[in-house]
Amino acid sequence: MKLKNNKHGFKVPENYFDEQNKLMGDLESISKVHFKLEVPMGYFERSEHQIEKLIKDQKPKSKLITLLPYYSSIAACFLIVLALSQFKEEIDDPAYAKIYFEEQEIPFTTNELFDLTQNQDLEINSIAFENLNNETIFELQEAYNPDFNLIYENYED
Amino acid sequence: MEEQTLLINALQNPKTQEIGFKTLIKEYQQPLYWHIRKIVLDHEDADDVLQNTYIKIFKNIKNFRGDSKLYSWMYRIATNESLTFIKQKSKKLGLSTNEYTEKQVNKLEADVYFEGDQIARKLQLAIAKLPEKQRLVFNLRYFDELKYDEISEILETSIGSLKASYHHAVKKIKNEIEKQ
Repeated sequence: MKLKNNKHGFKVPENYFDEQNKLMGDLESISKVHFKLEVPMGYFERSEHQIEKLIKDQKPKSKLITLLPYYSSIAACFLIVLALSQFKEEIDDPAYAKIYFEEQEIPFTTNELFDLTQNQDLEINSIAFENLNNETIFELQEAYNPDFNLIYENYED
Repeated sequence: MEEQTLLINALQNPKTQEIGFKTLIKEYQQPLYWHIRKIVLDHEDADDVLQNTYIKIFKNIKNFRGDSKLYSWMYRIATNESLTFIKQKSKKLGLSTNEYTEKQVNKLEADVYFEGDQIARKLQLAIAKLPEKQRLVFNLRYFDELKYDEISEILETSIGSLKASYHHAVKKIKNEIEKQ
């Protein structure tokens, strides 16, 4: 193959740069004329709201303990109260309690929540409840232990 | 204060984070989507990866130190998420990533969200056969028309190496199209 000199002493094959330019020209005509990706109508508007909702769902739910949304509550407080009494030393550590509640993802019934809030031995100062309706919040307020601080976030109006 | 710095401050402050993210989604949703779509090809897959990308952005924004531009950082996350997605899918099907991507290209003909003739599919097939890095560089440079220094920030690769990758990619694509 015949090589062409340049000033730096390096060489390239003859017509190398011409071929490159031609190649780029060919590729440009392919994409500009024939290639189009599409999305369903209104996709970006829908996606924007979906992503915003997803991000909201990712937010940390409380400073100390997060309970699953009330409506998914099924029994288990009993187990937790039991666990609290059995593993008091561990529960005394707020980090452990947080992990316990969050990772076990154990939901509660209203009665079990009342039990939990009435539990004098419980050395946790606050619980955040999310997505509770007003009625449930009033019930909880009536029942809660005065030393116990309930934090409400994003409850229904 | 620079616009990006304001946005980063808003994103890193819990009180302003929500509005910061709304701005971020509005501003970058489409460029990120198209970047992802060109890697994963299918719309539904691109939608999934876009959501994962925003979740990653949300979870990691507190660690963003501003060493690179915000959009480069987000493109990097989108790129990694797209590649991870392809690797997971191809592993599930017992294919190499190239085989999987070729399979996706062959599905384009029936894809209602792809408008392209045979040459366009040939181009996509040729791109699918490139090694991962060359494929990324080619997409970013040729379709997204990003500058080498911008691609360099996204892929964390030197400009010299990017130029070489692009050069090889173009050459291989040309050969592949001629062969098809």
